[in-house]
Amino acid sequence: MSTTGLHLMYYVLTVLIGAFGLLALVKLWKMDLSGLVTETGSHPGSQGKASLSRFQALLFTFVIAGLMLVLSIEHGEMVEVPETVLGILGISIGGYTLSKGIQGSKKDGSQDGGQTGGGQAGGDQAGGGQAGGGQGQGGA
Amino acid sequence: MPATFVNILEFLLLAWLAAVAGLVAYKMLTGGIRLDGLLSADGTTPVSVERVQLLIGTISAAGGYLIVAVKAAREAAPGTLNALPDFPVSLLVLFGGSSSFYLMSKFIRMK
Repeated sequence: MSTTGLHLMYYVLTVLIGAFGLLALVKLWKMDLSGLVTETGSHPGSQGKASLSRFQALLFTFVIAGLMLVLSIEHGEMVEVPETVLGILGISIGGYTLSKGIQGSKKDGSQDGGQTGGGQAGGDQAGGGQAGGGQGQGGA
Repeated sequence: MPATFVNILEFLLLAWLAAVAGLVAYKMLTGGIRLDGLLSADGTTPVSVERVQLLIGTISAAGGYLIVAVKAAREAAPGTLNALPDFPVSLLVLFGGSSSFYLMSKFIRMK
């Protein structure tokens, strides 16, 4: 391919990438991002509240991805990510997972408690019925 | 690829990332991205200590690392920095401690 042809191809590629970037930006601008850092509510239809873990992930993404991009462009190839940076991402994501685990166990606990309570109430009623029938078996 | 195109692509990528970051920041400031209850533990109290300290810890860690990285990039000769700079251990300990305190408080609150 001639040099002029190559240059034309580079021009077209650059314009194409720029157009895609612009399109993505316009779409992002129009998109409803209100729930970007919000956890869904515990009940369907409820709005929920902003999550600190999601906010943290967003902040680290911009900082680390931005730095990687800048340094990779300067260096000419992808730069390495040191263990300490992976460590901070691990703490952040691990914290989010643990936090979800704590919330999940709380929900399970409250549901189990409700079911157990209902079962006991039923048993008491049955016991009452039996006692009323003169069997004398109680609620067992 | 000729240097001109590389420069244009570099500029496009950086401008795009900056524009996305700016857009997110703008939407956060104008209410386009909801931040209600960010500092509230259970939605009833407006502010909880563990969330405030984690927010401060997060911003300090991210900002501190950004400063360290920019300083390292300025001090190094152009094109010689082949890895992201190490995250300062003191900041890592601060952030780990802050996250641990937050999780412990959340666990105690949920009990």
